[in-house]
Amino acid sequence: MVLEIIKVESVSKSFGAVKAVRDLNLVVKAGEISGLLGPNGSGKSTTMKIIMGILKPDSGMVNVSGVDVKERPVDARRMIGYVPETPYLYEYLTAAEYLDFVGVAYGIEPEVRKQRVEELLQALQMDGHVNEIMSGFSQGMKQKIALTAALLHKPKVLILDEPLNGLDPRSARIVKELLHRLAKEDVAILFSTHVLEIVEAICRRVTIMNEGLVLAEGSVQELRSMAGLNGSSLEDVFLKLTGGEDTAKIVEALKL
Amino acid sequence: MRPAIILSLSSVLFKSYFRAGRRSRLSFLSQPRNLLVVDIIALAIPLVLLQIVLPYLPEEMVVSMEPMVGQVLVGLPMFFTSAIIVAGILFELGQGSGLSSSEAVNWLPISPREYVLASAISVIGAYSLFFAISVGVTLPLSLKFGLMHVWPIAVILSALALLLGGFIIEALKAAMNRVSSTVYRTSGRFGIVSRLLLMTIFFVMIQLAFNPYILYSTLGIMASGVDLFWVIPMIWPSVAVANLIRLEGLLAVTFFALSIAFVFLIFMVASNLRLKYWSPLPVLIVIKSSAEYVPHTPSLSRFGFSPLAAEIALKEFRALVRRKDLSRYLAVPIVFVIAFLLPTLYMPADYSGFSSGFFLPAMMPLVITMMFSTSSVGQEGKAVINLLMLPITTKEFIQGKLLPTWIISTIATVGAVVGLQILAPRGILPTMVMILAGILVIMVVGFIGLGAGSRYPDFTGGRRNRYLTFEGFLVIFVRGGVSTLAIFAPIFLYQMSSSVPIPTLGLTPTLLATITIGSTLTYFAYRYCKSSVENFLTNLEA
Repeated sequence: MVLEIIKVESVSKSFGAVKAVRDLNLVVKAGEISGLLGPNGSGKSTTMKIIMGILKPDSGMVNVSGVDVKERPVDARRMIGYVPETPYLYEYLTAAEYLDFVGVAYGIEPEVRKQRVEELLQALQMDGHVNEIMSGFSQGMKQKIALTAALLHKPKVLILDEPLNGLDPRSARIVKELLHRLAKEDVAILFSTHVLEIVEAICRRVTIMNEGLVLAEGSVQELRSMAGLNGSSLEDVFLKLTGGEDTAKIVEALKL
Repeated sequence: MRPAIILSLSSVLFKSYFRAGRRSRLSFLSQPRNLLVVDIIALAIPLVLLQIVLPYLPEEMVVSMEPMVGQVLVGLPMFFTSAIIVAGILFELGQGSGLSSSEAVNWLPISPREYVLASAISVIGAYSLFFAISVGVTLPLSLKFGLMHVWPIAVILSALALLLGGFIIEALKAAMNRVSSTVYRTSGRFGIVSRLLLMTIFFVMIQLAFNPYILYSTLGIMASGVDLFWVIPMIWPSVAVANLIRLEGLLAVTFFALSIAFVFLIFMVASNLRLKYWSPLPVLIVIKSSAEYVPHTPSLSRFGFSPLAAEIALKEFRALVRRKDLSRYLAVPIVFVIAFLLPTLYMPADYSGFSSGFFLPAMMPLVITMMFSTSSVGQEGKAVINLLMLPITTKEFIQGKLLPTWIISTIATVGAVVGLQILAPRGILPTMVMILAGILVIMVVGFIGLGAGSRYPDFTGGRRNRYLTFEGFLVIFVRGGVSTLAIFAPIFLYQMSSSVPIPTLGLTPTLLATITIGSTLTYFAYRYCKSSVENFLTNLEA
């Protein structure tokens, strides 16, 4: 039986009058790469932060690998690797100092840390920059350090909020292949992106959100069937489900 | 230059000051109309009050006030320039390279001159309240003492002095961008240390130059007719007012014209500096020449702290040393000691020991601890996500965040008390009790400060970041102040009993009372801190 690693049940979250997440149910199983899609402001990042225990839901329950996130957020975080939407790193630290900080937080022994950091930085072509202050890094370089930090402790769960932002094609390919390998090693991966081709290529399941609600859930093929668009791209399915299919008319109406 | 662009940009920069922080209570001032109403009220209140009070003042007092009013009018322009410079150092010069280089203004078609003028106007707008109050105070006084021929000129020159301060800050900002980039690029870790030292020296010198006691002495000389300071262009507006008071028309006109010319010159310098060094270059800084990753084990963990708490503390120290906006804080303890010890040198021998002997040991731990502890969460800015996503317990967070505060505040407090003991000896035992009380204040205020910092953080990484919301400031100001007073109350009574005829309080009861009050307050402060941090670590929204 495949384990349900991330389990979100009837979660709602409001910020004042804005209902960011409404009665959300979501499951990510061990070894599964699950894509979370939605237009800007649809509630994806809020959902991820709730799973991380960074935001408290107004109602509902979140469980990560048997740990109730609301009750034991610190224990849940020990099992999770997280890449936020924008990698706001400590820019006054060097990459090595930042990774030391993260490594100590996860209780990784120095020898293991050295091996893991060197492997990951080499794979992402960042090994020459380890003793540089991060304020001079480009967005892509920062993203690579954020990814290294998220993978450092061999997490059971990966929550990646647009992890390929700013990455060059080679690094993006490496990350995609790495995610496939981690999934084979039974890591549960929740993945959000706006690049739908990537979702089609790597996600086994896809959840489409809009205005805090789950609109559809299933494999890419199942979503096509639900939308009545068999043979179409995921982009067409996405636009139809989120009500954005009239883009051509909008562009036509623009008097530029 | 396009006036519409300048006004529009100054309005944007002005709003960024008052709207910083999601929950800022000052945001209503960001509307120029509202600020104008507040300014008019601030002007009217002292004006009306003084008009009512002045006729009823005793004759002797009125006579003694006359020369002071002249000094105030002379000092106003100089005060405003210095105030803007000090405020600029505190709130303007710490902006990081990432932020300033990504500001929209840099890619909009706005010229450096337009930017410099707009930024200076926005600064003046932000401090216009103080200008309004000074106008409201000086008008009735000038009327009363027949200085109405001086007052309008003094007001105009004060406004000019405000502008001068704003331009000087703009010039300093651009110059520091240049220094910062160059020092960093050329010398890595050495650059960080030398920049920190330079900033501390610079900050201390500015504070010394604008210390009220030094200013007062300067004004005394100027108003008495010896214009020794006319060689300093920054005080030409004050020299013009001084000459007007002495009815030296030609000199007054000359210095008035020179003041305008100097303000224009600084404006041109600031504009040209901005044109050349508009933003610090985000350069790659290498800390170690080797590209090898060598895992580090925090040495603080040998002293009983968990490795993570030690790592957080180390990160905080690095932030203090490496971040331009935070490294200014390290100069504050030095400035503080100077600010408190200088009056001691000016006071009669009978009082010199008493005032500093009590206030410095009480104020030092309060202010320094308050400053470091309250800012420790808000200074994380958007990078706070790094703390929230990691498995950090409440205890580790509190220890890691407060350790640098405790160390710096303890060194500053012990140093100040020992220094005072050398200047004005009070005996070893009372000094020890004083140090103990100081350490208790550090504990209590540290916990309250971190609690307030976690509950009311301001993560806005804007031009004038302050790390704590206004509500948070009130919480720490009131609770921290009352706690300090309570802990030092027995010592105050002990000191008073040696100079004022009140029932004597011995040293041992003083010590016991201090420990009891301090320990009780530490317990409650810790509970407040713990609940605030717990809430913060699990609910960013709160």
